[in-house]
Amino acid sequence: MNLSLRRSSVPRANSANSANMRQLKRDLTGFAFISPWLLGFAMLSLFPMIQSLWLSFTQYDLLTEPVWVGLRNFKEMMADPRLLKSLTVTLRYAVVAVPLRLTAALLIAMVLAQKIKGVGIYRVLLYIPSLVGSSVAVAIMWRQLFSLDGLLNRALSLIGITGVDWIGHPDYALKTLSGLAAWQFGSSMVIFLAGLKQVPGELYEASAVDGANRLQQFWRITLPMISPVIFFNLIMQTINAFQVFTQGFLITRGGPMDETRFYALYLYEKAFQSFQMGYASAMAWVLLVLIAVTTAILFKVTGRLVHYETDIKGR
Amino acid sequence: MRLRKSLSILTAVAVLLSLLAGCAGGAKPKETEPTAPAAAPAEPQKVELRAIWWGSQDRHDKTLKAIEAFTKKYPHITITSEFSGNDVYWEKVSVKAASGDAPDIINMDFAYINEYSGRQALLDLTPYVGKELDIAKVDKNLLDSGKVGGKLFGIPLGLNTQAIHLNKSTVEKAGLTAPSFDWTWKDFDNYSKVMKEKLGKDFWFSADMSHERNIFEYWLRQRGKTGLWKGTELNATEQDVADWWKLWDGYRKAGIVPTAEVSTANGGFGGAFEASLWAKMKGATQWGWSNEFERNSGVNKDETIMVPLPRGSATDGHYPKASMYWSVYSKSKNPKEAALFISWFINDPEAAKILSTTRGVPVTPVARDTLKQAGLSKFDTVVFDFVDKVLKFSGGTPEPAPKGNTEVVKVFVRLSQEVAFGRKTPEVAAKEFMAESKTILEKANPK
Repeated sequence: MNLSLRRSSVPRANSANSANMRQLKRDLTGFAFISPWLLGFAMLSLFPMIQSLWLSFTQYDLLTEPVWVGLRNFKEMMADPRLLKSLTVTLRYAVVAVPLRLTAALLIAMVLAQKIKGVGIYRVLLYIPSLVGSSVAVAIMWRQLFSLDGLLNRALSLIGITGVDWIGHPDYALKTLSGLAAWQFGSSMVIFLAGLKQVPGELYEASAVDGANRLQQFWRITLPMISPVIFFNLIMQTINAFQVFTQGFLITRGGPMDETRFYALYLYEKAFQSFQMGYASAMAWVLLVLIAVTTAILFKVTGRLVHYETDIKGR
Repeated sequence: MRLRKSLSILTAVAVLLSLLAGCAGGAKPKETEPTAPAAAPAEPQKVELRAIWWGSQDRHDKTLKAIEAFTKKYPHITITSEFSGNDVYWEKVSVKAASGDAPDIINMDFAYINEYSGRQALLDLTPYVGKELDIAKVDKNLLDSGKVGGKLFGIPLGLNTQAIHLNKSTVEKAGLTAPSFDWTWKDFDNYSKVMKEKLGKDFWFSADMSHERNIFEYWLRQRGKTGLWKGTELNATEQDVADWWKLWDGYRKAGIVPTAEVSTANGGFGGAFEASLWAKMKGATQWGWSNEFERNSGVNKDETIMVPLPRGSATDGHYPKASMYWSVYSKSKNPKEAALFISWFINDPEAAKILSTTRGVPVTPVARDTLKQAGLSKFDTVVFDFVDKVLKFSGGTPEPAPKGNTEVVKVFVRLSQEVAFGRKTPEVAAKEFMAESKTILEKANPK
């Protein structure tokens, strides 16, 4: 009885063991290949994130050791009027910049999706602004163009309109920056382009046969078919908009009177100019939570509007 | 199952490694070459120092030349330098200090000396006095301004006073003669009015200075106060602040000082010098310090002179100010050599010749005399002359600014803007300022 069992169990154990070994070898090889990235991620992203989480519960002035203060930073944040202001400024920016950017990206992508001669060159040319969009040189140029005696106002004066200080006046500074965001449509445009290209041409042909006009085609074919892409871009751009920093730092320096003091800019000020790195770390984690909550809301609210090819709803 | 197990093991190992790497990397500062032990023979060990400062291109060039000269005299010491414009200098220094790796020799300012010394970032130089550091001939007033709690944290590098740089030609074009050294705020009113009338809507006698804490302090001193700070508190009352902002509000409403919009478009409220009314030749004056004379005159070919700030009060607001200091990083590995460099910088005649007045009038008599003998440039002559004259009627130096003062000043600038744009009345803004500054100072200086 025992003998027979043993005899029958041994070969199975051997094969199971070698299968284990082979699998482990395969896993280890995989990890060996990604270990540079994994190590980099651990040291440059994961570790700083954990450290920043720890710092958010401390008072840290950069020059002396951090002192544990528990939830004090978070309590202070709730009573900080400038924090609320920076949040409002960022939200006002996002609410304008994101739709503007997506609309511009979609419109231009639609133009570039056509088969016109030299469309490749146009694509490159239209993508270039995005590459330099948040660079220092461009920001300085914006500052020149939109100041009280800048190029825009001089152009306006030629047609008899006296311009205002577009970036120095508290009523206009934020609006100008939000409008400028549209100029960085490049990355969204490329993704829209890819999405548009994936819409089967037969759908358009079939609808044309059925007598649909361009507007109906856009509304009933294009939009639903690229809705996953729109959704993706919406999420990405919203997350991006919450973290806006460069334009505020370079063009207006948060002014005038904090009217363009974005959340990230206020965080920078607290961290590097006011010797309050602990508070700034707390701000960073609150921003993370805010972005997560906003993204979750976006998923809930617009998720149902997104039509995926694999869904066979109502058919 | 196997995959998940290997995955979790490897992730755990990676995280552990990174924690170790991070802890190890963060704790140890970069090593500079160690100096030889005390029983060294005549041949000194090689020492590397790092220095950081802010300034204009002209100052960078002069300082680099000075360092070259120092290295010739002390060949065993090499100095690597870092410098930047003023706008991001302090962020650079604080971040470097945070990683335990700040340069040995740090350009320090009156407003920050408490912020840094109070956070143990600066070295007390008292043990080096009389040995590597020779400060015997430096004016006592100046030297005291670099002391905090009796400890010497900064060595003054230059003597300055407040000054108004004035375009003589434009003033004369409006039919006026240049102000004398005794001119008052009433005269200031008059000059502003007349120049506005004569030179039109795009020209201003003075920019809006309601945000400038140094001039506010000067004006406070004219009211009998010693300065803006007393210990860790603000030395101004709500009434003082309200009156100051009312003064400038009055000027704006009378149209003799630019409106908030014009100011923001022209480098106002602390903007860049290149964008200022003075630099654009739309303003007749530039408020500032005596060591800025060369830079300010360089804007155009008109004749520029310096006059003191408007006077006429019982107590005078001017004072001898150390333009800036050299401080030594508390974690420096070579404090002796750093002290040696600082001593050479202020005492050596060759240094004086190279640096001239880029950081103000030299602080030691030997440096001043060397400059005078070598023949002062026309700019330096004006500066020396002006400082000499102003010091004759100046008062004592005010107290240094406490920890947290940089944030208080930011609040001051912001509220000045709000008053300028008409968002708040001077009285409401003053009340807010007092409350906010109190909170900030109490938080930065817990009892």
